[in-house]
Amino acid sequence: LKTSERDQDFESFFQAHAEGLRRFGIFLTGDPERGADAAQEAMARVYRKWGRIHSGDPNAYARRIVLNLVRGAHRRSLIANRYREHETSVHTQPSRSGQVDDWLEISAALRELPVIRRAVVVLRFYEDMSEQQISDLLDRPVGTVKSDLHRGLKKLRELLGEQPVKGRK
Amino acid sequence: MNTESRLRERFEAAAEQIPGGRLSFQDTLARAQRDRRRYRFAVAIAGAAVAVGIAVGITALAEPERPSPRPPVNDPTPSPDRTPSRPIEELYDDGLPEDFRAEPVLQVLDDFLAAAEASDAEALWSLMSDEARARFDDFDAFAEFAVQVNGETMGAWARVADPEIAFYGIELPGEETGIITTMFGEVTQEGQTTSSFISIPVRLDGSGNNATATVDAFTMGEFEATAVNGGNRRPLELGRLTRVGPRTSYEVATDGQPTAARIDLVYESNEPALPLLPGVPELEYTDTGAVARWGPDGVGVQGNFALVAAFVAEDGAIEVQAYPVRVGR
Repeated sequence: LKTSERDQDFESFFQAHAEGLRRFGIFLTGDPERGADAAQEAMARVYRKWGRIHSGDPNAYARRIVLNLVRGAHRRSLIANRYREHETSVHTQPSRSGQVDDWLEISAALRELPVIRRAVVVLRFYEDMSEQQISDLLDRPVGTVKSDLHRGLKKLRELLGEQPVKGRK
Repeated sequence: MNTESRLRERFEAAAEQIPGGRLSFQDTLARAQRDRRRYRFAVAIAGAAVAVGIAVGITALAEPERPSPRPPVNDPTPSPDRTPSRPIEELYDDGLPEDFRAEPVLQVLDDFLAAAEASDAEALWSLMSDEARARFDDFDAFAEFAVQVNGETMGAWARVADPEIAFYGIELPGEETGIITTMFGEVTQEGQTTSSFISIPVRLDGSGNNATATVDAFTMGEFEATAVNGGNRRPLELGRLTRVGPRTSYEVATDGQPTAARIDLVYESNEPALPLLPGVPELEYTDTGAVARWGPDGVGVQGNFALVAAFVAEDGAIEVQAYPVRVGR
């Protein structure tokens, strides 16, 4: 691809998927700035490899980068500690409207899940992906995805005050 | 409206309330181009380092090879006259039947570990499969054994917060399905906290959420595990395996019993378990067991792995062994 064609091609992809990727990053981090930064870094990496990946599934590739960036940050304890302090300052702010703020509640509940389980839950319940699609995207066995969903959903029910569905354990 | 639908609605509402603006295309492009310049610089530096490394390597090769400190063992290289491999299709796709649901398995695991923590022999017995019970003469014999099971042994896993659990299936004679569960987490036993794992076989009767799950516990296999390095045939001790050549293989001898052997989860202290290799790229069955291999695509793979091997014994019980394997580093 020539540079101009490549940039045009990538721009179309960017316009279609950047906002979804930003939201995915923010759901994973619980922090609008860090989530947007991870999404932008992922988009930048997608651009750099556009020639090789544009014919595949660059959106899935970008999501994996975001997840890896977030997980990498969690593994570095120093950053993780700093992040926790930052999280506290961000998420204990009450909603200005005084109404129930879904964003604050959902992001606070998601932070109680391990990062990978957070990703599985967001992909399933926000992005409406199937278990198989999540398995493919995260390179994770379907059985493990099912386990993540079950445990993630159970935890979110507790945290969000939801009642379990009748007829299921 | 059920919980999952309500959760979807709440996610939608939350997404609309996320603060901050959209990503800027121009800023992203500038970032990509800035990083690309840095990347090129890093590649140039790395290239120079590789050149130095090659020079050092050539010098090292010129030195006489030191004898291996390891004791000699039989060459475990597969001989050409072995029976043909069983087709991999005999295992379920992704190790699981299509109608598999995690809930019954997770529930029986939770109950079983809680009973182990409480050293409750009756509860443990009630959750065990007929095949597992048959390994003991009767309940009294089991109760005598079960005093060893408590909150400092297997029961310690009941206290692990948010363990990561992986499932793989193994075919069983009859209608039941075998699910090999491997649990990873930070476990505290007798005051010591370590990053560890445990494998427990579960037997499913029925399908979906209505399946009845029982545990094939305390059926530990006695099979030998031998690790061989395919690069230079030098035998390596399992548990301290280092990849030397472009391929690494692990052989688990099981005397021809149906076997499932997987190497695909990494565990590290303070890090979550990762499914690094979703299924061993090559799994070959021989008349003595299974050989799992990876490479050359997996050349860069390194870390701590759990090698989980399971097979069905003659009495129908599922026997499982889980080994720590260190690759690279």
